Amino acid sequence: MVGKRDEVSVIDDIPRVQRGPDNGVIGISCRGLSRTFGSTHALREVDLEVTAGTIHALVGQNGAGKSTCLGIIAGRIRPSAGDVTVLGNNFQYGNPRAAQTAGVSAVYQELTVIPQLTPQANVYLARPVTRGGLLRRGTMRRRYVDVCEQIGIPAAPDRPVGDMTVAQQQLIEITRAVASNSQVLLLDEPTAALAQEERRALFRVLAGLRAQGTTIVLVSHNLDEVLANADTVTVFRDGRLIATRPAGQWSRSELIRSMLGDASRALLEAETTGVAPSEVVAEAREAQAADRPIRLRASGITLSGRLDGVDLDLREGEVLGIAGLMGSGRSSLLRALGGAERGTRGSLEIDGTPRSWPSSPRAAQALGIAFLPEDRKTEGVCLAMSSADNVALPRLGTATRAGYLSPRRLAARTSPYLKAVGVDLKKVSHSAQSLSGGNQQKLLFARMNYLEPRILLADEPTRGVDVGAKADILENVRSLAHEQGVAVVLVSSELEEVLAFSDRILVMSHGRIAAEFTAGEVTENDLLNAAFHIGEGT
Amino acid sequence: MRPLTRKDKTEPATERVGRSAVLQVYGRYAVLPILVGVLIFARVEDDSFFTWSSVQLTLQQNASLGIIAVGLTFVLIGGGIDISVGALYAAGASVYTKESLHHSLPVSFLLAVLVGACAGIVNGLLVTQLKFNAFVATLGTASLFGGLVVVYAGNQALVPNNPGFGDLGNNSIGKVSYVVLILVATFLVGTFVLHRTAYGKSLYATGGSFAASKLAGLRTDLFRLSTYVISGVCATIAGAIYASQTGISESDLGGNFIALSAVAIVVLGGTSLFGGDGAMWRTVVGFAILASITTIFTVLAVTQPIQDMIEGGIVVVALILDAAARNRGTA
Repeated sequence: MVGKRDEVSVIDDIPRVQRGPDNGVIGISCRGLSRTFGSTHALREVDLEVTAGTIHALVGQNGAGKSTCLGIIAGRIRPSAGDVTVLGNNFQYGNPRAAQTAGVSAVYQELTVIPQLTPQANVYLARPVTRGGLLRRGTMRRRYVDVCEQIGIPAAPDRPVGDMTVAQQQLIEITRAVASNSQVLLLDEPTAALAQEERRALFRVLAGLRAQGTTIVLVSHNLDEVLANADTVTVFRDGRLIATRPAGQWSRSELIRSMLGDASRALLEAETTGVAPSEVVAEAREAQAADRPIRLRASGITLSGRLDGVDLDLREGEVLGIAGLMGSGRSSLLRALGGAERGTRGSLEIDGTPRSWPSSPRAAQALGIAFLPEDRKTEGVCLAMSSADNVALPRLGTATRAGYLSPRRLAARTSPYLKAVGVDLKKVSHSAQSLSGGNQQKLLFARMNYLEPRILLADEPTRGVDVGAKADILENVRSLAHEQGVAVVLVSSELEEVLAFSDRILVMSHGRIAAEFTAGEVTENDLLNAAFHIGEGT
Repeated sequence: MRPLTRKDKTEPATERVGRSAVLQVYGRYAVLPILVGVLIFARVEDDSFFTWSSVQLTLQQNASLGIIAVGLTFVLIGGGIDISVGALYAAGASVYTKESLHHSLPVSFLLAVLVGACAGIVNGLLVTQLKFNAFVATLGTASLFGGLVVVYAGNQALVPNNPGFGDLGNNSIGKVSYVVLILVATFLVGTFVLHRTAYGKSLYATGGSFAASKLAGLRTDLFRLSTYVISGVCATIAGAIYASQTGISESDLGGNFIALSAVAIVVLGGTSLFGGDGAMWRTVVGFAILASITTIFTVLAVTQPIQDMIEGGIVVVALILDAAARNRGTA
């Protein structure tokens, strides 16, 4: 196997290599990177330099642009503007294979190992060792064991990797990267699925690779981990690079502040509510003080591997915010309540009457529960259908007479709802596909209103919509609760939203409720601490 | 180098007019010029092509296929496919003929329809409950149903003894035969149900966006199952009509050739194999094209293998267009 140290000297020979401020070799250099997805700016003019042979962490809230940035460096995403240089070589965009040839390997959350194959077959998948077209299993095994030794991990046994733990599978992917002589290793949320001990083992491996000259870029939500293991940390927010500093010069609270951006919070609140935060809080307290009856009481909600005995009370006219990291179970909880997860166990009371757990979204609707799913494009709107169709879809029968569905009556029935959420009525007959993300989301809110629910479950209702639509949507959530008495559960990755619009806030972690707060008595820091600390054992 | 002009209030992604939009509209209606071309060609090759008797004959000879295609349109819009229609066509013919030996004709006809409905339920359950791939499931049931028909009807031709057996297939009201009336009525009913009922609308939603429809609270499984029942009923009706037309029924009638031709009609019209996209008028146009071509083949005395080849070629081209339209749409 080629030693990593040799490769570093090879890099030194390349004349175009630039020297960084601390005399380190620039491993990766991004200039003016921008990327738009439809109407959302995922990344805006990002300049990023990564010193070769270091561990560089990218942090930020969901949707801040860190994963997009990683995807561009990995060659998986084509930037709208800007360019990337890896080890002095200009880079062909949007081509993972070219990236691999250039020495860049990426390990994503969704692992790409093939479960039926052995570790060595997975490691040498793209470049199998053959003679005369026949696989040389023995040689591959020997080489695999060699590479494992080089990395300093025990070689996985010679059986299908599908039987192994996620941590082992991930190490096999990393081994694959090393075996293909990658000088740059990109990791997206590498520790999200790992146990504490496995995390430490992974970082030992990464430190070992760094010592051999490999440049490592990782995206992580786990700030403590990042501060303990990375050399440099870059914070992203709203698609922009906020700051890059050596890990030693960051503190945990500084990181959180940079990730959230206090200024943006004030801006958001001013734009979305038009009321000062304190007034919002006052109103929220008032709503709670009324001590309204409990509309929904669910206990012991269990969903294999995702929810671990969650108890939940939801009052009439209240907005219950749920915060938590991705994978904490917040979406699973909403899906379970919305009847979208078969195999959910738990007991349910609505208005004090015991009900059997809804087995389908339709059954949930019959209980007065409307569910707004997180993934708007595949689970929300029917893209090929018109706005009016989309709004009335669950209740098309309401627009028929003697079985005849009149397009005119359908439009007449749905247009008040569309108008109420602020969709341009001229676009009623257009297919949902042609609408912006924000308008598609408004369409779904019109549908929720059309259902006249008693309980609304909204999963990330403002994800990927522009600021104006965001305000309309959140205002809609609020008025449903405070004016129509609907009990609302609001899940959002944007803590400012949860804080500004909820009367009560639950923080989830590892499929459980980690903490409960009353709005107005809690800050983003409290929420983040609750979300990060539980399950970390710190 | 700068990305886009600053527009934080995002603009909707609508305005993509221009070349691609024109192409798309053209692509959506490309089947109409093809129909006109085929009709002109038919007129050139056969002077009598547009006389009523010739048109009526063309319709009569292809009516069974047209009725099957109407049922299949529902299946395809709902996101499935039904290969077993050929076997059910034979089942319709056999049940109608054999039962007419000791039951009245209406009772025999209803029995045939019932068989189609039951077979459709079997197909639907396989696809929705056991989550089989629709193509494989109905390919399997095609063999199963085909075999059952042979067991039921015996391996030889059934000859009906009821004197009125041929009326359905051969009588007419004035100048219009029953068969043509049934065909037109099937098209009309199909159009109404697909485009002007809540059921039809829900079917488009189910076929086009399955996950979204399910989460919206639609009974997606029931909708998909129902399309197989519709297609089974249509296929057995078509079989009964065919038996009445010819006055004889063979248990190995049809086979997969019928299924392929019916799929050809639907896909040729421009209804997508991927679900949620299509229309009944498209099936009517596809039917007109294929029926006209078959008639011209007869006039020009084109041999069967060549006919099959051309028909198959047309289907492949239609599929390529469908896939291309889909790729454009998602790009």
